[in-house]
Amino acid sequence: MKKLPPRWGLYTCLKNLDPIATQQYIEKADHFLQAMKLAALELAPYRTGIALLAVHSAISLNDAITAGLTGKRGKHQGHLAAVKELEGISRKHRIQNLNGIGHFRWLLTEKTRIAYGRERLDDALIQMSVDRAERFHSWAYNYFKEILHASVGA
Amino acid sequence: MLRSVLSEEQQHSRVKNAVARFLFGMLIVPKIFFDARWPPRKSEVDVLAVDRSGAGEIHVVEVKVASSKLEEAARSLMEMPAHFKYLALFGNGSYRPSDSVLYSPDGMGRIGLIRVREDGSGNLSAEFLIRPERFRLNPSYFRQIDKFTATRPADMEIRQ
Repeated sequence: MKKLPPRWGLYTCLKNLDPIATQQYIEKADHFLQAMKLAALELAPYRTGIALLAVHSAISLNDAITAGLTGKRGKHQGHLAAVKELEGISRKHRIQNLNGIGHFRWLLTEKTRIAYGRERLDDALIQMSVDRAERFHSWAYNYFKEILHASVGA
Repeated sequence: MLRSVLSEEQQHSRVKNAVARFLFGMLIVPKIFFDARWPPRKSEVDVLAVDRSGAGEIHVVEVKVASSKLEEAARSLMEMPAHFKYLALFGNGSYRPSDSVLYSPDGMGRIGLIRVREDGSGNLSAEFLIRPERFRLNPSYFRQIDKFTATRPADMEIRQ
């Protein structure tokens, strides 16, 4: 049987400090992710848009986590500061699987090229953006379940 | 055509697979389970999906590959604890249960209908005939679904 994330310990100790902001950011993350998935069904006309939606879905979900756990939104000048903050939060909560941080870092690193670069993006980069965004969501909901669970009201 | 040589059980599994793909595209990041004991030790459902990697809403689907016992299937779905419930009907025919059995007695919730069709090449595709409406769910089931997703590996999920 595969090893499951140690989330039961977290379940009793995480408290959402700003559930309204968390909910608002989750909603934005959902919109970006669903639009990304829809556009990805027909790659050609939306290619750059797909990759940018992937990046923004991850940024919004990260904002949801940060708002829930710190009570404030990270206003980072550099995107990599957001990665560092998420890494700090994860370590503080003793999350051993840090794969999600790798996905988030990759998406933020590629953001400038996707949004502002001159060159056309190749299919591999677009597909990778979609994969990384979905994996980041999967990771976040697994390890910050209590914060994000309460907010979606499920 | 290949379809004619398949057993009803094989067709049933193909349709479950098509429905799972349909839900996979529709939900955020679902965990999907086939033939799931839900609620635990009480009943089994063809497809169970829990959105947001197990932290979100619960979706259950009963698959019917023949036109018989649709009302019975809808009644059994009605008893099942989930936010969204669906009956998936296979084939190009127009059979479906009567509308009255789709609605929750308290008015909160409607079973959705999914039609799974097969084209001339044997490809399956799914679409909504009737979109579902959200059911009310007792919060005690959240802990049960947490336990379920923590102990049983999903058949389909986004890897982290």
